[in-house]
Amino acid sequence: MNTCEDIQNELDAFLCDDIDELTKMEIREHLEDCPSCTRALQQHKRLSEVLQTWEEIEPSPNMYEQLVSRIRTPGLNWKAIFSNTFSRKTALRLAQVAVIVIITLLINSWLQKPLSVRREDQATINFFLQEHQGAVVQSISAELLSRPATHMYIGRDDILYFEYVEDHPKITQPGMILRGPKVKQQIALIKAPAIIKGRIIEKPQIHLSVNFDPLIPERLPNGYVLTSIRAIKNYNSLHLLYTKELDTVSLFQQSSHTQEGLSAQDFRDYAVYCSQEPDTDVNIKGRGTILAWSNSTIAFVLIGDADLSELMKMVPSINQYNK
Amino acid sequence: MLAYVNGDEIAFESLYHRYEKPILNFINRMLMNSTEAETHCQETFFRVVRAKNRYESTAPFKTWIYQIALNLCRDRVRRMKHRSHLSLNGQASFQTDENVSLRDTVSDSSANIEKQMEKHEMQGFVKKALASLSQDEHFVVTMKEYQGLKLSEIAGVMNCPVGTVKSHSHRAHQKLAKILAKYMKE
Repeated sequence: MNTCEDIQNELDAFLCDDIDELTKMEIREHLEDCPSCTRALQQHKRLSEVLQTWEEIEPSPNMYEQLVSRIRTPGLNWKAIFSNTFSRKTALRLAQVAVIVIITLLINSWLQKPLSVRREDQATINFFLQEHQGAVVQSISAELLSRPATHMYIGRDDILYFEYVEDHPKITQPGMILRGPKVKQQIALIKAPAIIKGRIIEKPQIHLSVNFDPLIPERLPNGYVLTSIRAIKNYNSLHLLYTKELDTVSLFQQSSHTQEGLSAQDFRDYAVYCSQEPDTDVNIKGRGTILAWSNSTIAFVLIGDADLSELMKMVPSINQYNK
Repeated sequence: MLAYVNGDEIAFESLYHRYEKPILNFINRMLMNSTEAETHCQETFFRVVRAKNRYESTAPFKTWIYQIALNLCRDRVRRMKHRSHLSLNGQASFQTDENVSLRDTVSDSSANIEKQMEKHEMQGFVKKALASLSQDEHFVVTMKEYQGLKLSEIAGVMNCPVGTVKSHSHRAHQKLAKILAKYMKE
């Protein structure tokens, strides 16, 4: 430490006595022979004197008591901490972030909501027989597989139809049951199901409208009467509409040997989305359940808003009639 | 402090009375507002109580409590700057002691009013000179000149090398000497 710059850089430490004895001695020796550094030291001392004109303040007499009181009042502490730590704008930003996080969590939880809570565009599969459940779950997602239940809710894009065929060579039992929403208001159609495109025909025309030998039960049990027959355009299918007061049941028939008929998705769209029977005044709300089965020549689909037990009783009667 | 951490409430009272005035004046000189200083002084001790279990005996209590006070001052200054930016006229919205009139602070009964006024004027210049420093320079000068901390202790509070403290001190000294040149002649 030989230069004046070195010495002057250490003057602060020298004045604070924050320096080792050897350096202190070097500075003292230098100051004895250096007017410039002596002047710098005097300037340091003078500056300290000037700064000291800003006098100290005395604490209020009750500061300690106030502190003790605050320490013993935990409810007030957090408020004080909050007000001292955050500005109002910071608090508002935090609140905004909190609201966004909460909304995100709510949306996330809603999206991940178990399928057991049904939405309007979902349908319920009710298994007619225990073994049907095993057959159906082969065709649906692994997530649904893990739900041991006698019914399940499925969304628009889930596989909805599985035709269970018993070993019996002639007649099969209903393969599966779909239940549409039990809503009483109109459900908007995303796209008109192919199933509603057709024309009303009379009984004598029925055999001319399709290339298979259809079955026309005169009446279904439990008071349902035939209201209309419709040939579904381009699908080689028939639609028989039965009504009982305000309840309706639709019986669809098509050949069980052709690929040109209506698909499971068509029936599903009809059951879930269609709410008004075309070309009639019959307002059909929430058709609900679908039963599907087939025999050696005809594939049947029964869709109705009657109770499930009623629909299930209709199936054997139709089969019986067929025999 | 260790006695207080171990449950000795009397030790805290003793600690409080030893550091109350230095911390109050440190904050007052950083914020230049005696009302704010009292509030933040209390907050400093409150945080000491709240964080007592996090106190490490390897660090001097003096360093620790000044760190807490310094952080509070920095937060406060940051908020005041923010408010100042928000203010249409660009002025900070809080009131400093500079706004207190001379009449309020000078005793009418004093025989040497002129001398008091001169002292008051010098004090005003000192405050303005300190206010012109950067926050770190202001802090180093306050700790060194008013609180009597050594450069190594200041480095501990600021958590930076001693060399950095010396640089801040050197620059602050040059600025202050220039601004206060009028008073530097004895």
